[in-house]
Amino acid sequence: MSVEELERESPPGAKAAEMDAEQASQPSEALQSSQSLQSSEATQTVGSRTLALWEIASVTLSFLIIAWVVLPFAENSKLVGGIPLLFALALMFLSHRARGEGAREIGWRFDNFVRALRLLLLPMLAAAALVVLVGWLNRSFRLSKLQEWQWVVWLPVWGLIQQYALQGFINRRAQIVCGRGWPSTLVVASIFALLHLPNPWLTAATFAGGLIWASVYQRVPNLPALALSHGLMSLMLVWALPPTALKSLRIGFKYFG
Amino acid sequence: MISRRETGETPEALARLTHYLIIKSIVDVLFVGVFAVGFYYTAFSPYLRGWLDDASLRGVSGWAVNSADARSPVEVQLYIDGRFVESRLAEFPRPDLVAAGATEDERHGFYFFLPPLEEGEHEARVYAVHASGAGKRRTLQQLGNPFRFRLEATPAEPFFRGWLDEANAVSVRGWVVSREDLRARVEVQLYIDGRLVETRVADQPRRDLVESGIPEGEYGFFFFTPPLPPGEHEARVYAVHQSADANGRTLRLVGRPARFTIPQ
Repeated sequence: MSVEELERESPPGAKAAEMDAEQASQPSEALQSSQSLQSSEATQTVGSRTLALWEIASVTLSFLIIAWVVLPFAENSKLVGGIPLLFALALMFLSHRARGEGAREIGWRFDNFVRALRLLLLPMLAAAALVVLVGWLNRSFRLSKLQEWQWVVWLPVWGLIQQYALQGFINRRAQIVCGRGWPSTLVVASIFALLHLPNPWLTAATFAGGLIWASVYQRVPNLPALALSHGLMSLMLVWALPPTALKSLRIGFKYFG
Repeated sequence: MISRRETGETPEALARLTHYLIIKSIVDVLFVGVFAVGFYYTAFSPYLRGWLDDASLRGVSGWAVNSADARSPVEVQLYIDGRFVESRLAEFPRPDLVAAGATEDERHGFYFFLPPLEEGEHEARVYAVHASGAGKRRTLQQLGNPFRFRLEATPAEPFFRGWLDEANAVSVRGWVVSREDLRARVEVQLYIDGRLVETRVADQPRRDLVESGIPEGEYGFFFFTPPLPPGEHEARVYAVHQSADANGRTLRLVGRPARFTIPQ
């Protein structure tokens, strides 16, 4: 049985539920001990959930600081902007260690790359068709930005960083807070959209993208596939949508500049 | 839901994580604080000094100096009633600044003519412009306090230049020239104690104005003072401005009102 099949058949949390059920069927003495264990477990779970919430808030705040404080006021110094990013990455790394998460578990792997791409293909085609339709209606196709090769190369790299933070960290913490499925997917998409405010088109696009990527990640955690999809969709947006609508992908305080 | 049992978290690990989060929160606050202070000192120069001395019918005046680079004049901007009026360099001679020890060089004064304003209360603010971020960012620092003043007449500036030189029991005289067309003859009206006395055209020769940098021409006006009862009186001369818009003709005060006394 492959790792993915194991994950699908036995989703995280099922083992815990089984153990809780076993404990509930014990005789009364054992039940008392089990109840006290459950109570202690509940307290610790609440602690873990609160911590997960704090982690989400902390990492989100780092990205908000970059978009709303550093980049607009530091003469576009990417170096200064890198400081809060570094803090966030350090916290994510330490948090993975504290919670015992390995790189493979987070999604740094290639064994399920094709499977993740297969899942992404249909929604990506649908989104691409929609973007092309908007571009065709507006007659706004343009290649100028795509000729800047450094920018084109940077997109998937930046996409990978974003997807790692968003899925490899926030998605996983959101699952600790509200479980796997729609609630955590919505949380991830909302945070992704929040980070792209106040650019209306980008906020809408990232909310939709966030839903798809978060949902795919929960089924097949693979960050390179998500980064590739992220980069391609960004290219599509820049190629097809009018620059006035996207405002050069500006977000945060720079959107007003 | 991913449980603690699955991830292999231990209470110690969670406690450690709590410490990391506390440290990161503190570091975040410190970073934003240091960044904000750094930005403040970059965007707003602590070396800019100055004051808005006066705002009245005569104009708006004051001084500004950048202590870090006292030789370069500071750019100042005038706002009246919250609206931008004009930007210029503070390089007017102000010997009193040197005398007071405020600056080493006297050329740090500024003077703005008032724009066309309605009669009534107005507020003038003057800001020093500070460029930072390799000139990409320009910030305004207010000089002194906002200055409230009351206009009882609309000044001749910026459409005319002129002055009411003298008003006495015999005559009222001065000069006025149109800034738009030096050859144009300006129509002027004399008011005494708020009543129209006479309308004339400023067409008297005033060769003395050449020394003031005004091209030779006929810009002077001269009125005989009408018979007035003994006591204090006020003379005002207005230039008639014909605007292209719907406002039509407006009277714009030349110089300042002049007070004079008719003896018993």
